[in-house]
Amino acid sequence: MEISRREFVKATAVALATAAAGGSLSMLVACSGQSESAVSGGDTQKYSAVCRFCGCGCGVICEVKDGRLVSVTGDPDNQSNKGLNCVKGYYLAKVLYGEDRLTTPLIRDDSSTKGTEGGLREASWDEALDLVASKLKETWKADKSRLAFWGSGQQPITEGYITAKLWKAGLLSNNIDPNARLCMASAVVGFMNVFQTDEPAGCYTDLDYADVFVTWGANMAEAHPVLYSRLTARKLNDPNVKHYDLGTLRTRTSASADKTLVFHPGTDLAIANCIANYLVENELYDADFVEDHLQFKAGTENIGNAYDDGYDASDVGQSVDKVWNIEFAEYAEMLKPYTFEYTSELSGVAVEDLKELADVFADPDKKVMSLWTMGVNQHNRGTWMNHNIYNIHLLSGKIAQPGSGPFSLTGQPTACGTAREVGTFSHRLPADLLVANPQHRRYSEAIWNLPEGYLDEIQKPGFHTVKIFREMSKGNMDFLWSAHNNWAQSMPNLTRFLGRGDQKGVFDTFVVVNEVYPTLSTQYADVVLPAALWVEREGQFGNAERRTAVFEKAVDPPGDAKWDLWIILQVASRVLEGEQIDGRDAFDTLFGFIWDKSAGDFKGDSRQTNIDIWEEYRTFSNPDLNEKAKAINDNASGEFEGKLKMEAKQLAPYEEYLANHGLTWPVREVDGTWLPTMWRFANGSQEEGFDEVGIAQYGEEGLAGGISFYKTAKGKPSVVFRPYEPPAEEPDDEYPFWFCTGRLLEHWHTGTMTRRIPELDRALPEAQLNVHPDDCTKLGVTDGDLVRVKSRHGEFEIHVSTAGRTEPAPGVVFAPFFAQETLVNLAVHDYYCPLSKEPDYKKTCVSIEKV
Amino acid sequence: MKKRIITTCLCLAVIGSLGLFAGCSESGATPSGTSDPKAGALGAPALQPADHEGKFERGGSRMCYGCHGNGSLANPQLTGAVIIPEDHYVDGSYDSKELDPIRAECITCHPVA
Repeated sequence: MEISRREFVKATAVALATAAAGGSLSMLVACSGQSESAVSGGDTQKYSAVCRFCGCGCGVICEVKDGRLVSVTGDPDNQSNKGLNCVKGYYLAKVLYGEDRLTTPLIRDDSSTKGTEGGLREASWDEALDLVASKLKETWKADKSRLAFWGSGQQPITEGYITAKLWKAGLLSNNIDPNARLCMASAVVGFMNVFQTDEPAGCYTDLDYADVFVTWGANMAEAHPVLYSRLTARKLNDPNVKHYDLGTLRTRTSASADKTLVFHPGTDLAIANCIANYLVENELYDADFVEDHLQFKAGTENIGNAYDDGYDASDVGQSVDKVWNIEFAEYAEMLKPYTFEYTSELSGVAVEDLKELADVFADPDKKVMSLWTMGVNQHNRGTWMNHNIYNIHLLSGKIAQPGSGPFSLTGQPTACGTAREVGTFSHRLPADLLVANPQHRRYSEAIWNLPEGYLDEIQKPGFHTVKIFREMSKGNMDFLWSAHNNWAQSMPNLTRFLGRGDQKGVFDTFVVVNEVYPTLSTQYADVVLPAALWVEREGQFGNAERRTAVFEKAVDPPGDAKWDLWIILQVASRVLEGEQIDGRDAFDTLFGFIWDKSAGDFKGDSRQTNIDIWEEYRTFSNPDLNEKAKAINDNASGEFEGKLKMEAKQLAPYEEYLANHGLTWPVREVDGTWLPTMWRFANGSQEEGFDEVGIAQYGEEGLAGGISFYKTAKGKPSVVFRPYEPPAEEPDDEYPFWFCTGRLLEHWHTGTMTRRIPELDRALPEAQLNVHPDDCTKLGVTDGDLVRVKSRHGEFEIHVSTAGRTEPAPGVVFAPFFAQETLVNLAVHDYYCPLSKEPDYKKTCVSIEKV
Repeated sequence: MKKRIITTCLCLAVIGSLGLFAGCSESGATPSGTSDPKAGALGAPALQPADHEGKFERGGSRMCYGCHGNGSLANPQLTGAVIIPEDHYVDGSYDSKELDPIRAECITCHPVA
C-alpha cells in the first residue's frame, strides 16, 4: 500500500495535465482502444465489425447507445490490426449520420437534367423497383450486350455473390464488373498467370518479421496506414531492418525509408529486370528453389497501348496473353540488356542504389518483403510489373515464409473477398473459376443446381469496366446499374464518360445508382435507390491477407433506406417473373433458398440470410458438401485436364468467422477445430499457420524451402520474361508534365463519406496540386495560385502547393482524386494494361498554366 | 500493480475534484467541439491544432513526445498539452518512458486539422 512521493507527484501531474487539456477519463480509456469499458453501463451494446474503408481490413468494435452508433475503436481480437485503428476508422460512426443521407427512392423524369443537382423527385419503393425492373427486362430481352452492372470492392461478400449469381446464372450475362478493375486487376492477372491461384501466399504477420521492406509504388503511410504502422514498428524494434522505397515521387512512406529510389515513370519494369539479371548473371539466385519449383516463359512483346476502343479485338490485342515455355538460359539471355548502367540511364536511379537493392535479394539470409499497390497495378504494363516482382522473389526463393515474400496490397476492404473471390469480374465465376473453362462451368452448374451446359452461353467474357463506359459514351448501353461506387468521379477520362465532350451516351443510358449520399453519380442517375450503409446490415469483407471477417448489424438504416441485397432480389424477382430453368421457376431455383416470393421478403433475418448464402457459397471451396461438384472437382469422369483442387481456398462455417473475428483462408478443420492458414504452400504445423493440410492433400514434401505450389500447374510457378516498354504517353513540348493521382490518409476514394465527417474534412479540406519548386519557378506560379491542368483528354483547375503531402520530382505533379469540385479525372486518360484492362492513373501527360 | 492502481485513483480523485469529468479531450477536444456522443465519435482521437502543421514530418513521434509525453523529456504540466495515454507506451506503462513502436506514427490517428 505504499506509494512514494515521486509516484504521487507523477499521478497528480498526470491528472492535472489531463484536466488542463480538457481531458476526461473516457478519453484516456478510449484512446487506449478499450472504449467498451469507458462507456458501457448496461445501456450500450457492442458489435464486432470491419472498417469499411481501405484494403487493410481492420477489425473494429462498434458501440451502440439508444439505437445509434456512438464509437468505433480497434478490435484487439482481429489479427489483421490487433486493436490498431487509423483516423478514418475512429471516425467511422459519423459517416452514418450525415445530414443529407438518402432515405427515399428518387426518380428522374427528364434525362436532360442529368449532370445537375436537380431533376430528381421522390418515389415509392414499388414505383422505383418496377421502373428499374421493367427497364432491365426490356434491355435484357432486346439485346443483352446493352446492359451492365458495375459493382465494387466495397460490396460485402454475400451481396456480391448473389449479384454475380443473378447476372451470370439469372440473366446469362457477363456484363458485370467491379471497380476493383480500377485497382486490383493487374494483381489478379499476375497471380493467375504465375500461380494459377489468386491472392498472396503470405500475410500481414510478415510485416513483423521481415529484415528488409521494399515498397514499389505504394504510399502505405496514407493508403494503408495501419499496415504502415506495423512496418515502422518493425523498423523501430530492430535497427538492422531496412526499407527501400521505390516510386516516381517522394511520399510520407519515404520518411521511414533508408533509401528512396525515385525513378522515371514506367521504368520500374527495367529496375526489376536489372535485379533479376544481377541474380542470374552472378549466380546469386537460389538454385535449389529454381530447380524444384520454377518454369520459365516468354510472352508477346511490343503490345502497344489501348488507345482505341477496338484495341482488345485487334490482332495485337488478341495476342497479349500468349506465353510459351523457354529454357532458363534463354531467360538469362533476355535479361542481359538490363545492366546496372543501362537501367540507371533509363530510370534515373544511381547505379550504386540499384546494386544495393539487388544485393538485398542476393543475400540468402535476408527475409525480404515486397509491398506494392496502385503504382504497380495502375500501370500501362501493370500485369507485367506484377510478373517482374514475382520473378525476383521466385529466383531468390523469398516467398511463402514468415517475413519473406511478395505481397500485393489491395485497395479496398473486400476487393479480395468479393470482387476476386465470388466472381463479380466479367470473366469470372466464384472461387477463381473462369467462365471460359468448361470444367469450371460444370462445377458452378452443379452447385447452383443448373442443368449441364446451362452456363455455356456465358463462356465468352463480358465487358470489362473501361469497355462498359466506353460503350456507354458511344450510346451502345441502354441500362447501367451501379452499387458501392461513385463512377462519375472515380472513372478516368470523365470528360468523355460524363458527356462533356462530343460523346453524349450517358444521357441516353438508363442509369440506376444504389447510394447512401448524393454524389456525382446520382446526378447522372435515372433512379437512385437509397441503401443501408455499413453496419446498418450484416455483411462480410475479405482483405488482402485472405482474411474473411463479418461485420455485424449494429443499427437500423435511416428512413426507407434498404439493404442492397433486398433491392437486388426485389428487382430479380420482377425481372425473372415467368422465366424458367429446366422447367422450374427461375427465380426460385436461384434464390428460393433465401427469399419468399409470395411475401416479397427474406425467409430469415439478416443473420440467417447471410448464413444461408454463405453455406451455398462455401460449397465452392468445400466440394465434399455437394456430391456432383465433388465428382467434377476430382475429375472422376476423366473428361477434363485434371483435378480442380477447390479446397485450396477452403472456407469455414459462418459462425467460425464470428467466433474468431476473422480467419485467413484456406481454413482447415483439424480435430474438430477450424484453423486458418497464414503461409500458403509452406509446409509446417497447421496450428502455427502453415499449409500442412493443403500440402498433405495435394502437395509434395521435401522440396526446396519446404514449399509446394500445389495449386499451380505442374506445381511450378512461371517466371515470365517481361521487358521494359515505355508508358502510353510521354512528356512533350505541348504536355510536358507527368500527372499522377491517388489517395491521401483522411479521405476514402471520392470523399463522399469522409468529407461528411467534419474532423476529416477540416484535416484535408482541399485537393491541391503538388509541384516541385523548380517547376513552379519555370511556370511562374507560387503556392496558392490557381492553375489549369490540361491533357489530351480534358482539363481541371486546382491550387498549387509545394508543401503538400508528396514531393514530386521535377516534371512530375500529383493531386488526390477525393474532391468532386476539382474532379481531376476529367483529364486522366483511360489507357489500360492490355492484359488486365486496368487503367493507368499514374502517367497522364499534362500542361499547366496559371489561371 | 498496486502502485498503478493507486496512481490511477489519485488521477481520478484530482480530476474529479476539479469537476472535469464532463470534459473530454477525445471527441470533446476535436476542432468540431462536439461533445454529443450520439454524433458518433466517442473515443475518436483528438486532431492536432493547425499550428502543429509540419511538426510530425520534422521530428516524428519524438516531436510529439516532447510536449505530450510523460517521460523525462517533458513535463506536461508546463505545457498544458494533452498527455499521451499510458497504453501508448512500451508495456502499457508510463514507467518505460518510451512510446510503443506500433504507436509511433502519431499522425495516422492525429492528423492536423
